[in-house]
Amino acid sequence: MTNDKQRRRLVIFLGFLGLVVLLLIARLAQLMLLRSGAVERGGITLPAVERGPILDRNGHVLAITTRLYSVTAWLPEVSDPEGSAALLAETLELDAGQTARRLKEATGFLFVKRKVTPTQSERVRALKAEGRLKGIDLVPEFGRNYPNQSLASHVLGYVGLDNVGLDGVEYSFNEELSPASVSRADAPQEEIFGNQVFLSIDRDIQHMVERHARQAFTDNQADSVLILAMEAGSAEILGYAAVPDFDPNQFNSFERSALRNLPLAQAYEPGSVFKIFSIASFLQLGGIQPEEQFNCSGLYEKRLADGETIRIRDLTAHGRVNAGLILKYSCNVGAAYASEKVQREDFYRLLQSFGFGRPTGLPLPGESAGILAPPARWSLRTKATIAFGQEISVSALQVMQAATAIANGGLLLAPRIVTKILSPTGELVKEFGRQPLREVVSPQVAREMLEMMAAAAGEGGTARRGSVEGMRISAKTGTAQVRDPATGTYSESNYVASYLGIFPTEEPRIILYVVLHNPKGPAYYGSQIAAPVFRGVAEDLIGYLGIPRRGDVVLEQPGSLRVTVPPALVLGESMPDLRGTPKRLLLPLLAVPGLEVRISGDGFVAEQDPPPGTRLQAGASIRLRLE
Amino acid sequence: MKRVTALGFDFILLAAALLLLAFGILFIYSSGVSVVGGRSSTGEFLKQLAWAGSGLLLLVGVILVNHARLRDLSVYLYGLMILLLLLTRFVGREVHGARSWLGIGEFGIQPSEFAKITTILMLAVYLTGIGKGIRELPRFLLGLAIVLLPVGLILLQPDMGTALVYFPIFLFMSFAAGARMRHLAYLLSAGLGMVVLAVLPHYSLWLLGREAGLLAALTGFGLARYILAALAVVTALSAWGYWGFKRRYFYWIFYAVSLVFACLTGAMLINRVLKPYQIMRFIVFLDPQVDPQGAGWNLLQSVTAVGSGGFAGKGFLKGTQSHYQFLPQQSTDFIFSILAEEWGFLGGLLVFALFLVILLRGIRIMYIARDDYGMYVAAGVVGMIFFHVVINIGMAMGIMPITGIPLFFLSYGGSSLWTALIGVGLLLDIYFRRYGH
Repeated sequence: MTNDKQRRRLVIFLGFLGLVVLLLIARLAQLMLLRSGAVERGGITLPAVERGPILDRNGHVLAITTRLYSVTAWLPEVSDPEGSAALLAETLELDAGQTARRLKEATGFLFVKRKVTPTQSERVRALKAEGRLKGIDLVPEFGRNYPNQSLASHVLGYVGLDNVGLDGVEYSFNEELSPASVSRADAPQEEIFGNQVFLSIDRDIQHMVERHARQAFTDNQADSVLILAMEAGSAEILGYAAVPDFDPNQFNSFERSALRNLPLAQAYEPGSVFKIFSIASFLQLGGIQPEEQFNCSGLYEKRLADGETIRIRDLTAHGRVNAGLILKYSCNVGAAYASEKVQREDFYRLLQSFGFGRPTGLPLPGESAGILAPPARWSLRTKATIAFGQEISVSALQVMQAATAIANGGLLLAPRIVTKILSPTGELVKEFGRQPLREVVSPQVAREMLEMMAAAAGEGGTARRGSVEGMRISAKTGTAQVRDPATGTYSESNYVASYLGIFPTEEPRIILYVVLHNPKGPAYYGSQIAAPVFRGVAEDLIGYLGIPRRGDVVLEQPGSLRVTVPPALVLGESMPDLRGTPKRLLLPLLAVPGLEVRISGDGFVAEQDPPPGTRLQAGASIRLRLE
Repeated sequence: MKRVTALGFDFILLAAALLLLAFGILFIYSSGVSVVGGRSSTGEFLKQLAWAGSGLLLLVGVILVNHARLRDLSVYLYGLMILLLLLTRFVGREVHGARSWLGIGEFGIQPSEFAKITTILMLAVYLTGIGKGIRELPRFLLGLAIVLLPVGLILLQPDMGTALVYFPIFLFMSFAAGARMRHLAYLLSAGLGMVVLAVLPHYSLWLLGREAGLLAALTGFGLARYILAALAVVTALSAWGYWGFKRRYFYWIFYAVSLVFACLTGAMLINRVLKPYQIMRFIVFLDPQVDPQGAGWNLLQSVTAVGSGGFAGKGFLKGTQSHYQFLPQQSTDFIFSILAEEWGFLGGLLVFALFLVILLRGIRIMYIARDDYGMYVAAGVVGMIFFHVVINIGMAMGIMPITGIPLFFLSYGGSSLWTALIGVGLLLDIYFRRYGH
């Protein structure tokens, strides 16, 4: 190789090197010197998606998006950090020293405080108008508000600071509520509105079941109380109470345990309530006949081939029992004898068909599949103990789903909690209709089960304390001991008391399930403590839904009504007696100048302050409570 | 007689390397400072100190061994490293989806880093041996094969970024050895063509939401089969023509057609082998806004960090992009972004200048090396350092796709630091012994 050629290569190489280095320097200069001054003011762009609301079955708002302002600082323009910090600290209730430190240490964009109250943002705006807060800005941000606080909290779930659903319907329907916005730097930011999600929950029923659950929670000092109410014919969940619950507006201040969605996340041994499904299975499989009798001496004994004997004890001897009496007296021995009449594989398949051992698919996160072991892993006791609800774990939701088969002539329905999704402009986007899954038992078996369960709720039955005057109810109680994970044996003090009812027996409309976990009061039997809770909820529900009862007074009304138009409300010098006035007629009050009127509640005026006859002065304030 | 005098030692080169090393440790410390803890939360900078100390000992060791002795050992070192790469493939530790670590307990090394050095040494031996023979195509290809062996093993790990570094090493060394420009140009265009043809269809799909007509024809599996078949026939015909008639134009037809053929087949192979995330890296390089929260995140955050530095920077330990942990891999792949954020444009220029010093001193050493072997080794080391710097800094500034190649001297990591220091040791040794035995 000649020296000349070598020199040429050196020049080529050095030229290449120089070019690349120049390119790198140019890019560095472009990034660091030219762009730094022109970095977009504010520094960040927030997604402009207004998350859609969640509504109950009647269109009442359960979750809604609010627009709150965040106070931000763009530090290159903050000329007086000390003064601004002092002003901001006072307005926004922040620590003055810390705010000053943050403003002085930061170099670019800073959130002073996110999502401040409307009053605070107004004050900041006023201060800015006076020119006193240079470099401080208000950025609109969407917040999530749950106007009913803890109502239906486990169904709704909650969202994080950036309005991303973290649990419940907010999580599972995040895409529908807040469609992803394709944000391109060069595209104009359009505001996107999310869809509206309608739940099957009825706000008033929800309120009802939660009130009863909370009462039962304190009365029995239980670990938790669950009450689920479902429309039998459609499997739509009307009420979904789980105490302890939480306020999704401030879910962070609650313990993790309160956030757990127990009705679907917790698997437990159901106890005698499960006899509904085991006896129904035995009848369906033809293993037993409704009138077939078993002898209950208070002890079930089975001698095995190897000489060992299985023993299952009951509280008392129930004598000769048939299927109906097994349910009525909740006879474990009878259920165990009945289980001998079917093959374990058949029994297992039917329980699977009832939906046990796998999630129901309700669109809420965290659902448990329960535990239903395959028959190959069953011990020689297992078939007999599953018959009365041991050695199987279920979620409350699975019990509800299985009960739909009993209530619907054997047809199992998928439980539903979201019924439809509407677009922001009200067009139907998606509808979740009644979803029949399969016929688990024959209509005849389902009818027989309802009648037998009605007997259990009748005179002398274990479920009698849950019965409602003037209505036939098909029900079953359950008291299960909880397995102690430390010892592997059943606990003597930790029980699950439950009560499942379907009513009216003739034409089921409601399925209602009450579960108390670890009640610590003097009583722990489902028949003693869950039954009264059930009765309370059932009576409220029957009244609210107007389900006719025997002995109800049916009012005969003439075909036409005389409507008297009340005189318009005139405010004189003294306070009139407004009690009994409907809300609609109170409207003129609001138009009176110099009068502050506060109205709370709905319906008719129940209380008023000041009392009638009080002299009204200019600037007086009137308080009205409506019921 | 050895002339061991202070004058025989390239202090400028060593000083530049040591300064960069010190900057690296400073910013690895900075990268560990998170806004939550305040203090450096990870012990990375302490470990890096240990690596730097041991690396400097290695550097001294390399200087003490005469590179002429090293020349005799090159083949064995190369073979040993190939064995280690094989071993890594099967028993290596998997980090970030690639089985590229070999180690005992907490300490691990990446043989793919050290293999760069042994490949340089081996190739230097080969080039010295054949002399001007590199101008002949078969010998050029044999040289390429020396490089392709470790490249193949590293691609199996799979670590595409590290494997890429071997190509500039080969290009630099064969360029220095006097290989034909047309051979080098062929290799370069084939490589670029493959990548472009592999990525473009995905890019058009992502950006335009539809397949671009011509590209689809070239890369879709339906038509591509016929195009490839046609190209293969033309290639074969032109080859036959060249051998049969010895006409010049057949050579160039063969050259061009086989190049297109190689690009297309290569692109198809890449599409088979490349994981979707690797293709995404190229796409976000072309437009990070395609997926700003996902694949484009690194790049956007890095460019933001660099851009926010301004002229003089935010000051040491004052960077927000890094301390709020916006930047992933900040102590390894994106160390330059932290430096630029905290030391600004001036700091960036300083780093450029120091690397430029190392490269220019390296080139100088190439030309005053006493023997060809030393010259080739120096060329390889220069090529390696050059490529690392351009790719890594380019990546931090958003003008190179993200490949995960560390920045020599600065990035956290023992293997790459040792490799860099051994490289500098080799350069110093060649300079040191430029006058005789």
